Amino acid sequence: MTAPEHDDLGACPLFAGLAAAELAAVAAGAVERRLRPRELLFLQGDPALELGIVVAGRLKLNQIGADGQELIVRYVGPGEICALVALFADQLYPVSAEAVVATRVRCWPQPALERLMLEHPRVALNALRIPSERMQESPERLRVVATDRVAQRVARSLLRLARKAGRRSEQGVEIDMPLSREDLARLAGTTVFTVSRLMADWEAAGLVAGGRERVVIRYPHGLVAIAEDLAARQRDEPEAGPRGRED
Amino acid sequence: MNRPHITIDDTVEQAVARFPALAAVFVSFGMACVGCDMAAFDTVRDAAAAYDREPAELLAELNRAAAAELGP
Repeated sequence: MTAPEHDDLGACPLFAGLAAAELAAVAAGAVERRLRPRELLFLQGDPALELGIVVAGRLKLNQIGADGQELIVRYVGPGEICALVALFADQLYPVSAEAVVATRVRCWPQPALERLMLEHPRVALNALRIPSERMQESPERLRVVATDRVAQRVARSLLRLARKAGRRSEQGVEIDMPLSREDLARLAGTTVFTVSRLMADWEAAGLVAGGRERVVIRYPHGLVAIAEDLAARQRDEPEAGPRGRED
Repeated sequence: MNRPHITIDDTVEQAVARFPALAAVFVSFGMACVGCDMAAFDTVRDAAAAYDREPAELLAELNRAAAAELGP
């Protein structure tokens, strides 16, 4: 039921290309931290002392703005890295990391990472690639915030989560982690009030179901249609399919 | 005909991963499945239902394209 364990360091992009003996040495330098749900791994603004790789469970990365508004930057699951910033000395954590469920994280202290990069330049090259890949996602998210309607943003947030943490169940696609209306609002950059109203509408329409911290996407295509504005697009351009829709 | 390459219960993602040429079939049916976040969860049957297409017709077309990709 829970997310798979991720113990294979070689599969982590940061350590890609290292030999087995080197990987063993890397593994020996890590400290494992166990977090209870809602426990913090680190706090925004604190000195970035450690980089972490999630072994099991899930972390939520939150950023609090100057106005006190909280935004969820992303969720980090098994095999994924948090606090890449700790590769470099004298940095501060740009976000806080909180466990969503019981979570185990392997952590490497900053000085060890620096030694590792000096010994294995490949690790430094790998490290450079990760932010550039993430940066390709940023314009997409920026575009979504700047131009999409709120309903589209919330639908997209749900679909993104389903992609990362979805599990096929009897009822549809279940997002396999606790997810409150507040979380969803902070992900989509909107208010809890708006999220609650949308979720109530979608629940009534049979698109989603769920309880307080649980969301099941009952009709995935319906959410995709909202996220991608499919209905609007079909209105604009006549369908190209061999079987047009008779309505 | 021998065993079909694609079944109605394959997910869209599995199908397209095995036979990239199938992407064009979904597009020709007016379906936005390729690259969709839900393609990992929805089967060919689900996708056909979502777009109100005839499942058998879609499946036949997918298998034709898969066979063509494999070559003679």
